[in-house]
Amino acid sequence: MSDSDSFDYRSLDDVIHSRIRLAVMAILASVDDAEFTYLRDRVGATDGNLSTHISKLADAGYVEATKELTNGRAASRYRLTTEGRSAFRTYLGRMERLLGGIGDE
Amino acid sequence: MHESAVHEDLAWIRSLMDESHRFLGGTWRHQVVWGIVGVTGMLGTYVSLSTGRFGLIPWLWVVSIGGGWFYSLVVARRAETSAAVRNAAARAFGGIWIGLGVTLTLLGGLTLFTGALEPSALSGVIALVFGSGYFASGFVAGLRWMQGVAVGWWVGGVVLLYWPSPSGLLLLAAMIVVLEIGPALRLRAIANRADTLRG
Repeated sequence: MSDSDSFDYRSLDDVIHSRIRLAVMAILASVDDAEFTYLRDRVGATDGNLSTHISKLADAGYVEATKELTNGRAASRYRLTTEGRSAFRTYLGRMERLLGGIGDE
Repeated sequence: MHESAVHEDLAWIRSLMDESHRFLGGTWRHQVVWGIVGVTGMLGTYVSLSTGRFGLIPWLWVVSIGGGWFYSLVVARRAETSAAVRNAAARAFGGIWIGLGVTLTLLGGLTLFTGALEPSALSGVIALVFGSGYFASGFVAGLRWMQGVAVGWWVGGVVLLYWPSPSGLLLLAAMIVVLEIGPALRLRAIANRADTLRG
């Protein structure tokens, strides 16, 4: 692989830069909030795997969770925090700049 | 990482965002319920006119429209709070149809109980209002096919206003089946689509 084939990903946010966490951030960036089951089905992850990734996002302050009792069952809902929304925008901007840089070479 | 992989990631992110932004969840249920209300009312009115039982018509509509509002304001309210996703598109969609539902209820009530609007014009007016609703809904949800449905309503509305007759009730009932319950089932299919986006 030549140098021009590679990107420097060190400038990207490590918390977001995982396929599942990125997917969760992308979905939550386009809605008010979403249930755990919706995220799981869209991302295609197992319950345990998704929980682990969401915990990382929550620890970083990017995602906040609420529990709601609906139809007799407790459902977890997630939304992006202001910090998470900002981090996602920055992440996307850097990805696009990286692509632009390669395109200019 | 390769440039193509980054392009794929960005395309994937955009598709996830686009789908979630446009997700309308269970809004299709309102359309089915109101579609059944409309078809019941139109066919009931047609039968009442054909058999000379004119006095039944206002009460037929009071019961069917009352049932529709009971569903939307009481039964479905519980379902809305448990929607898998809450987003701007679903909120706008709900707002559009509640607004138009109030408009149609007022028009129907004024026509049936005060005669403020010519009864033979009501079917055409209903169709034109539905056209506006579908056009606006398609616009906010980014669903172009729904704007095509709006054109169907507008064309039907013009036909119903230009050639008013009792059989227009049957045409409007057919339009409700094709242009309201049909799109509702398509929205249901979109909501239930099992195409999980795996990495």
